Amino acid sequence: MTISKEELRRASVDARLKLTVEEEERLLTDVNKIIQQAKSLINLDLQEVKPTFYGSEQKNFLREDIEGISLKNDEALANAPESDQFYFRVPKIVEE
Amino acid sequence: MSEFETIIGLEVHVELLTKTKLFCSCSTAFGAEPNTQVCPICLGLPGEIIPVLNRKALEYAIKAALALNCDITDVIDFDRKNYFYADLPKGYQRSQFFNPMGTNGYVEIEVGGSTKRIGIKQLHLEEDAGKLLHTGDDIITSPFSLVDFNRAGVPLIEIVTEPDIRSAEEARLFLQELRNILRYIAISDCKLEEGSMRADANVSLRPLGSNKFGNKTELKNMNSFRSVFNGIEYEVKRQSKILREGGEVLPETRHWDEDKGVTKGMRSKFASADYRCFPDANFLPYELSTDWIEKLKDSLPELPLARRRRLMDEYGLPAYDAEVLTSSRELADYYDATLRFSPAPKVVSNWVMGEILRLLKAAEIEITECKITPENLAELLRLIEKGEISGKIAKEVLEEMSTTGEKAESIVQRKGLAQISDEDTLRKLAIEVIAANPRSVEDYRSGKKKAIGFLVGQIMRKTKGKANPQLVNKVLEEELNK
Repeated sequence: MTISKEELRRASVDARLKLTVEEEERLLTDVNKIIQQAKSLINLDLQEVKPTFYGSEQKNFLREDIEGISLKNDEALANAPESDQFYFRVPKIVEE
Repeated sequence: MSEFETIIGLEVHVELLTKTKLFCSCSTAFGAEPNTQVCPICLGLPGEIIPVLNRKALEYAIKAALALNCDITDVIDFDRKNYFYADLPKGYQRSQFFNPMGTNGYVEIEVGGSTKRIGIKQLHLEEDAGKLLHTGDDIITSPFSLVDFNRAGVPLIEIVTEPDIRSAEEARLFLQELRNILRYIAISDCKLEEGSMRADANVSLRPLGSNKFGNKTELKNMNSFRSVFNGIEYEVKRQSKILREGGEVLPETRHWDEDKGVTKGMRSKFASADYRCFPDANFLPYELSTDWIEKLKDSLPELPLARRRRLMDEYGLPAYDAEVLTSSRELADYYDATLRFSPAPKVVSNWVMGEILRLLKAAEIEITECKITPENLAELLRLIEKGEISGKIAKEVLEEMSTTGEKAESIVQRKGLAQISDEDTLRKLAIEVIAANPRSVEDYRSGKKKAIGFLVGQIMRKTKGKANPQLVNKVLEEELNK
């Protein structure tokens, strides 16, 4: 299995990434290399391995309910395609 | 309407009273400027910051699950519920889809004099979404929307009932009991009007006697107990009309329009979303210790139902009194505290439900801010009991106590409000009043016994209400019948 240029473009639209032609080429090569590497997993003998969703067997921990530092408003909005004063602005969301 | 049975299940979201969000340390305080309580975690910015669960939020969720008689899971994990909507910055909501925090619980409500158990299918922790503001007149005509993510990531619990509710009234009673329980354990302020408690209702009808469910609609936008009741009532009527006319109920989401008193179908781009839930690998499972759960179980206060039953069994209070007095934990605590100084449960109940609640309402304060201490209330009631002041004067004294916090006895002395129980004094007054009001006396003697009331009133006026009413009646009757 490989990823086509068309599939990469669709994924970049979903991820809101604007890629140059060079970036497209580089990513396409990288992604297909990753897929090739992942394929090697198919050949492993996993009979004795328990299924898991997690990449680590480490147990989790909790944090205390203490306030920390948040982003400033202009920092939060810095990468927003559109904003309006304090807000993110988005296209209307309900179909008629 | 009797040919159909109504089937209702509720999904209730409750905002937890934590200081910070579920997975990051942004503040949850209300009223800040938009998008100032956000960070890379709750905005879902790309990067490697791992979400870390808030201990307090987990503690509150466990307490809620325990108070609703749920079985508690032994491992906490989260799943990603994927959908695209502008108020959801990450494109998924962290929720507990596969392994909810609590399952298999129940809440008991009193319906028509008997106890009914409403099953709790599950209770799980999840994060809230952001808030959308629509410019223009409404959601349909608005050209674009503004988003504030301050609320994104605020901890919620969602409580899902079994379809055990059979009427709008039962739904209202369930929600009130649920709110009461969650307030008792102090994990949320549960304000429907302000959105810290939100209830959606799944409503369907089926022919009486059938055990197959009919098509259901999901009702949203009910922002008070009254609108939950009215919204469901309306929906039941609407569906039964469709079914009676041989039609089919369209399974859809409908919004309750409070002003127009109708439910409206809402088509949305995301109507039949497939959430493609899968475990969130960024959140490693957290093992719950049974010690901690036991500790939390022990820390739970007496819950409303148990407390109502105790007030009825131990003090012989009527069901109505018990319900009013346990409507908040603080009020019930006040009542119990007063009884430590008073031997008269029903008298205390009458005064708390009547005068105390009236004074609180007038001053727009909570019982915890009341200046009348339980001990001082008990002392006031003792003065009435001993005949030192009348009930009417006691109300005045209580009012004074509520503004100054002074003891009853000292107000009575300072203002000279002690009751006149001296028979000779009262008899002298009775004779005066009888002499001054020959018409009332004549009325009384000609059989209009009620005329004595006017004469009693005259004596009360002369004594500024301080005369002992029983004695006044007694001496007046004696003098009139001479």
